[in-house]
Amino acid sequence: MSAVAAGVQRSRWPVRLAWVVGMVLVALLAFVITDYELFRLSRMACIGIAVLSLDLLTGRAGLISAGQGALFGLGAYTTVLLVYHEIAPYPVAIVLGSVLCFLVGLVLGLPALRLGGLNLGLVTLGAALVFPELLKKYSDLTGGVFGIGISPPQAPLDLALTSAQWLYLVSVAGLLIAMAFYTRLVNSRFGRGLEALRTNENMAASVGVDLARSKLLAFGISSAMAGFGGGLYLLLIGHVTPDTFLLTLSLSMLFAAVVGGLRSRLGVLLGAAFVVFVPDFSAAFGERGPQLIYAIALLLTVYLLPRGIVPSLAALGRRLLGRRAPRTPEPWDEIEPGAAVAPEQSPVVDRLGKG
Amino acid sequence: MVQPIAPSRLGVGAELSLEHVSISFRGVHALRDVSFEVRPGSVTALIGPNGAGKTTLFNCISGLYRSGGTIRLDGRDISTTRSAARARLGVARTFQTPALVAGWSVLANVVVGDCARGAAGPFASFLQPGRENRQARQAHEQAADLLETFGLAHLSETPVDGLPHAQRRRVEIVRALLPSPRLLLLDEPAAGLGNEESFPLFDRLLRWAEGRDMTVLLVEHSMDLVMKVAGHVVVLDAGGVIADGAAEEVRQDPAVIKAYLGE
Repeated sequence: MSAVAAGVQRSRWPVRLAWVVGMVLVALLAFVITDYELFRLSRMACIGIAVLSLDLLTGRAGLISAGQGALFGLGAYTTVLLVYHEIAPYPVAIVLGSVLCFLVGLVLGLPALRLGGLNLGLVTLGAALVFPELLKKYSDLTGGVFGIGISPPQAPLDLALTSAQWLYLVSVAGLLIAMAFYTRLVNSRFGRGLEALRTNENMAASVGVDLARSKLLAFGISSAMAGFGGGLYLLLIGHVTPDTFLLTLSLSMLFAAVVGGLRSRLGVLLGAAFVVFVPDFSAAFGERGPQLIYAIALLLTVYLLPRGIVPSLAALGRRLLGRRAPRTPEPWDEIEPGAAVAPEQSPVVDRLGKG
Repeated sequence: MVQPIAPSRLGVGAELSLEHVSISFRGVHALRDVSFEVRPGSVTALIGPNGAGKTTLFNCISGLYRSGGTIRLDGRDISTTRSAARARLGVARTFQTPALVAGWSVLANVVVGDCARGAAGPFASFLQPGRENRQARQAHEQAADLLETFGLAHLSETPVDGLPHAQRRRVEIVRALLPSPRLLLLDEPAAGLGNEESFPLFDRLLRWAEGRDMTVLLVEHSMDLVMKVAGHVVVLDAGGVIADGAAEEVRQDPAVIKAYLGE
């Protein structure tokens, strides 16, 4: 009976193809639009990785983190320090930053073993508040309020690309890697276990999901992903200060994940686009413009599209196209046509009665 | 009178023994000094009035509650073993209200039962993709077979959300069966079902289990069903065991009649 399983895999193909084609087109953009636009899209890709990491934690495992921006910052600072002090080249520095974030994430996840929901949100909120202060306090290492910078990486010499084009391609590649990792992870046994524990911890435990281990690993992996995005982000902006990673960054990531739609990769991209592009066209509303737009969008989403933009619109589309879940009649008599279901004629009763 | 199913129909499942199991919540003794044995390969029913502690006992056996006393599975003390680890030892259960993952298909809800086959590391699917893919394929095939057996094959791609209660219950039972448990705990499998639904369900379940190494312990209110399927009955009342024996004997036990009729 592998027909069912095979059917599932087959039906995913068009979706995968669409993703690949879409991503190729996105890569080709590097040669069409200006460097400034490329920079903004690169930022969107890096923040997208962080929002994706938050979606893994909040959307899949049901654990809220209001401190993802701090881990994003930790990845960026680790990368900049390793490169600045010539301890490691860029790629190695980014990987090491992710590893450090993984370990910090495990520690941040410890409260999740006892706390859920709002309390966990507050603990992670604390991390987001403390991180910039720590950066200022240990100014010998971090450069304090003035931050620390490196020269932007150039494209390998044999590639005739501007720095912006090169960084754009690197960021998009990073986003693709993160997406592929996320997809593989959520479809693995571990990922299914995470979703089960989000739905019902008792049920998850009863089918063999180790709750403590799964939650800690979810925190660790999510943090490593955020750190990876932060490392790429550092390459992009070249210079980081504590103000780059304020609480508002963490909150906008959470906002992006919720508004775009949890458990939706397209929603993650939409959310990241919001974070990057809204400040620009909302400048007309004054200094507080972005916050105002965020707040309005958040309220509108919660009221009108409670599952987030992408999932709600997808559901609406399915309804309009009439593809609803089929109503299902009781199938006993469908399977065995003619087999009466009255207790007297049930096979159990027959056999027992004769026994 | 109808005869209970002969215990020998099932293969040698796990032997469960409870010794002085007790638990209290805020001073209220939900279970006190509960001791009984479930023979390997038997179908044993746990009955009793509402609030007797049946589901609490299930939660203790499956490890969701930590109780006093000793719980042994095949002679091995599992009292301090965590729930997930008990699942890996072959304890599977269903819940009074079917616990399914909303938004998932019937098939996906069944396949999650495969977690009981071993701790799934997050990196396994990256480090050993071949092995993980093979295991996933196997789990899907077994799930599809089970869904076929339980008359759910045509629903395997349907989201569980809109399914009627009876089908949700069946999906949960199939999920519990997927890892081929050695001890199956069924919490009111017939609740909300008439005999015309619950009897065929059990017929399929027991026919599937025939020859497999499985022990079944079920909490059930429907005496019709209990008398049909269970060879052994344990009666709980107010957190304590008031009767324990062959189904027919227990049915005529004055203490049981009193507990049920409240005389």
